[in-house]
Amino acid sequence: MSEVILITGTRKGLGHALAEHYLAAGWIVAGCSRGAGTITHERYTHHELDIADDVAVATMVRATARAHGRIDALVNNAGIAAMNHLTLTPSATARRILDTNTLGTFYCVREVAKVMTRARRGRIVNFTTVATPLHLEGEALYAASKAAVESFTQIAARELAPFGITVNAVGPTPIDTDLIRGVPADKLAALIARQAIPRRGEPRDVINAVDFFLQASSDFITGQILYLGGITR
Amino acid sequence: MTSTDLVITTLRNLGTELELAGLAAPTPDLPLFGAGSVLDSLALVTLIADLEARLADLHGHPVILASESAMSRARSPFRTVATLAAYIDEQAAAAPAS
Repeated sequence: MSEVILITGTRKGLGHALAEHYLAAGWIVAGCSRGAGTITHERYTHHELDIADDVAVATMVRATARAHGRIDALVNNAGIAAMNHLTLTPSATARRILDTNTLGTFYCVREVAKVMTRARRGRIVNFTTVATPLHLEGEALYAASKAAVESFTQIAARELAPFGITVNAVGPTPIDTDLIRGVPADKLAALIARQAIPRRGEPRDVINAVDFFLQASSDFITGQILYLGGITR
Repeated sequence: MTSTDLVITTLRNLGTELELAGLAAPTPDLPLFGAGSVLDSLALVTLIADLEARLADLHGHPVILASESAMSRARSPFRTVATLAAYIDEQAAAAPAS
């Protein structure tokens, strides 16, 4: 029987690549985004919603669980960034970043965990960023929203461990996606220069880390924050 | 099926699954947590998740029992089968929970 994975933010970028990867690997994939889906596959279902809407998230999770009887993995990829000096960050932008990155992750974990606790097994992978350990100027609220995700990941790992659910996070370096579209080239170059391996990340780097957390033999690995490119705390 | 029946049926199924003899014949005054409860915290979390899933199927929209109104009360609605059933009825009369 195919395993079932729920991936957020699958319309484009990294989420799209993750969905394509797990479809190719034989998984049943449920995805979501604020816009219409861009993947057509017999094992793919798209939900058009905002992950900051808790009722919409609960509806998607229940629909997925009802359709397939299980959810084996959740990948909380969806996220937004807005590079700006903190004094120039509008309140509405600040709220949107926290609503999507922090609360959106929380809503998805809360609802999927209810399905996984039943099965006494599950894998959850959240997304953080190297901007958090690097204390990146211009990304104050984005980095803070992901710092909250890291703390949430580590506590969720403890609360869900008795149910056989692991919760980890991956922190990608800059990858060519919409997320970094507004970041000036010199800022990106300076960021990449701080990595132990100074190259731009690729979707395969992130997919590899997610694969590691999802594999059956990773059942003793939880509460971990894995930064790519050799970034450390 | 009344909400009391729903809670009792869900508890009985949970008891079978977790092999908890104390849940073979739940009564309305059965304590769900604290002193005298046969449920540990993990079983209670599973019970709430099970009930939310059954209620969502029943009503056709998500039901979140661990809501703001439940958690802020001086006396928790999760005390006994009867208080939980009464709370479910109260929730059902209201709009979809968030």
